[in-house]
Amino acid sequence: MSTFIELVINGVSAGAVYALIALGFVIIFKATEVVNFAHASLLLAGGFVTAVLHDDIGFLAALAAGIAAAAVLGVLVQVLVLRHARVEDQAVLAIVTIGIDIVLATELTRRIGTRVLSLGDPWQDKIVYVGGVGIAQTRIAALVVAAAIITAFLLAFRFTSWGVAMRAAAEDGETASLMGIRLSRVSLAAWAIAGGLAAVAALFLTVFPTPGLDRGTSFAAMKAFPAAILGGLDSTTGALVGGLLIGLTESLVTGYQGDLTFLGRGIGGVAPFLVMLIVLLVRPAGLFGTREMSRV
Amino acid sequence: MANGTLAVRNLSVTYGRAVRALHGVSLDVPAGSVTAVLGANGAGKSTLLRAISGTLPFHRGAVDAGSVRLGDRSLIGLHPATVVAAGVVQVPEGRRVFGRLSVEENLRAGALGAPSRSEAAKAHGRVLELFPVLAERARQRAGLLSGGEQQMLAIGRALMACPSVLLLDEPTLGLAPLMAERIAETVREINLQGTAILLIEQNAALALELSSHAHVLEVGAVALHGPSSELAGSDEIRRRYLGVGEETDTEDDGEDAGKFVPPTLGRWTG
Repeated sequence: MSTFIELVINGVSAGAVYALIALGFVIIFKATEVVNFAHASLLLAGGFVTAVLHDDIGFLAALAAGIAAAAVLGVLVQVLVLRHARVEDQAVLAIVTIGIDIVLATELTRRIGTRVLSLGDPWQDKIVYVGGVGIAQTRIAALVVAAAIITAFLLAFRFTSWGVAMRAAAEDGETASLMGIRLSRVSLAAWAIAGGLAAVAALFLTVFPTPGLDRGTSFAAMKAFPAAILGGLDSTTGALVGGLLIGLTESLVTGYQGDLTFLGRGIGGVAPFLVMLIVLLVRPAGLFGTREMSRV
Repeated sequence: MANGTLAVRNLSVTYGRAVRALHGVSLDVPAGSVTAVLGANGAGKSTLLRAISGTLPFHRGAVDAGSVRLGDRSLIGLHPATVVAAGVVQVPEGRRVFGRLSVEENLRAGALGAPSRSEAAKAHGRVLELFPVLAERARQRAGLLSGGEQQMLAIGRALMACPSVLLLDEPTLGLAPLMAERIAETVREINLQGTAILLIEQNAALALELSSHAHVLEVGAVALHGPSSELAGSDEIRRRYLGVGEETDTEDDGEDAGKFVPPTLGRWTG
């Protein structure tokens, strides 16, 4: 039983981190209708900057630098590449982001090499015992921080002028511009926020029990894709539910792998994608998606 | 709110570098007046408003020649948000309220173009006074409102930006006669409060009644213009847009001669 509780808590914690990534993915899609396949590279870049700087300027400053770097990188992608691509079809832009991803990932992998970088987090591998259940401090930190950021984001999305502008622009760009909303600023804000969220997620993807940031980190980030897609690409609620679903699935399936040997080994890594496929078979637009998927 | 005349001169617009939608259109919307533009579908009415508001790029359109000025400021080539800031705000055809946002949030979206927070707060009070139903439905999703209420919301949303010139694209389209009359009264009321209005309408009777001057667009050019009372009395207008007058002795129906012409129902004349 205590194993089960442990797995659930770890799953929710991982899910919250996936939700951070998926949320960025969803706001970029809402603001620009571009499916951003370069998201994993933004995350890797944010994490890399934090890892390189933490020895010199301390953990918190390095984390802030990592967040800023990923945000700036996102803005640059929009300003330097996507804004100039004069194409009608957003699917073309999605392909462009694959190109950006390849370029960024190649450069970052070159710099990281075979190293496994620590991000210098203060939690290390300490474990807290609550009523016989052992939970890593990093998992608790991930859950608390991700929940706080997501709450703050959703409140801002709902109640601030920025949120209203964002949602109006997502619903009908032309009419939003007739209201005096600048669509270019809305997209820039979306890319910056998505980059920042990805950098925070990078931290929690690479702390204990993961050894650290290496070139495989972007693969871990890829698991947020099924989270965003199964939740519905244009739904912030969907990103949260999708993130939690993927986190829990992965944690439980990996945890009970011993009982699932008939499925072969390594089923934990495949499970998120299986869940996505099953959800899409039943609801092609995702759990909370509203638009037709042909938009993608 | 005194901002001068909205003056359109020799405006030509092309879509996709191929389809010419407006040829040399000129018209004036003097401060504080109501000017109407009549015309059939495809005559270029909405194109005219897109050119003024700066939303032609959304439709791959561009201004080829001519000018649009508010007072002594040119509006050509400006970003739509800059046009809004200059005081020219459009209520688009088909209302286009943000259906997934609440009524109150729609008004907030409109206020994003307001010159200041205090102006927006004043405008908010005015809008709710003009349309009390929007206060009752403040928290409802705009998509759940009736057509007439959505039109009120679309107008209210535009008023949040404190425009000196309001562009209305077919505000009574698809509304029941009673609701159309209410919208007409509101338009009159908004004008009395000092906002100039450029009214695009297919309902010619209503438009001529509300406006002081009117222009008739035909295939992208101004075919007729003059004081609305004169136009309302002219045979041409009565025959083509008001649906009254004889079908037999008109000058340009040579090819229709001898064909059966179905009787035209009179338009609602409020």
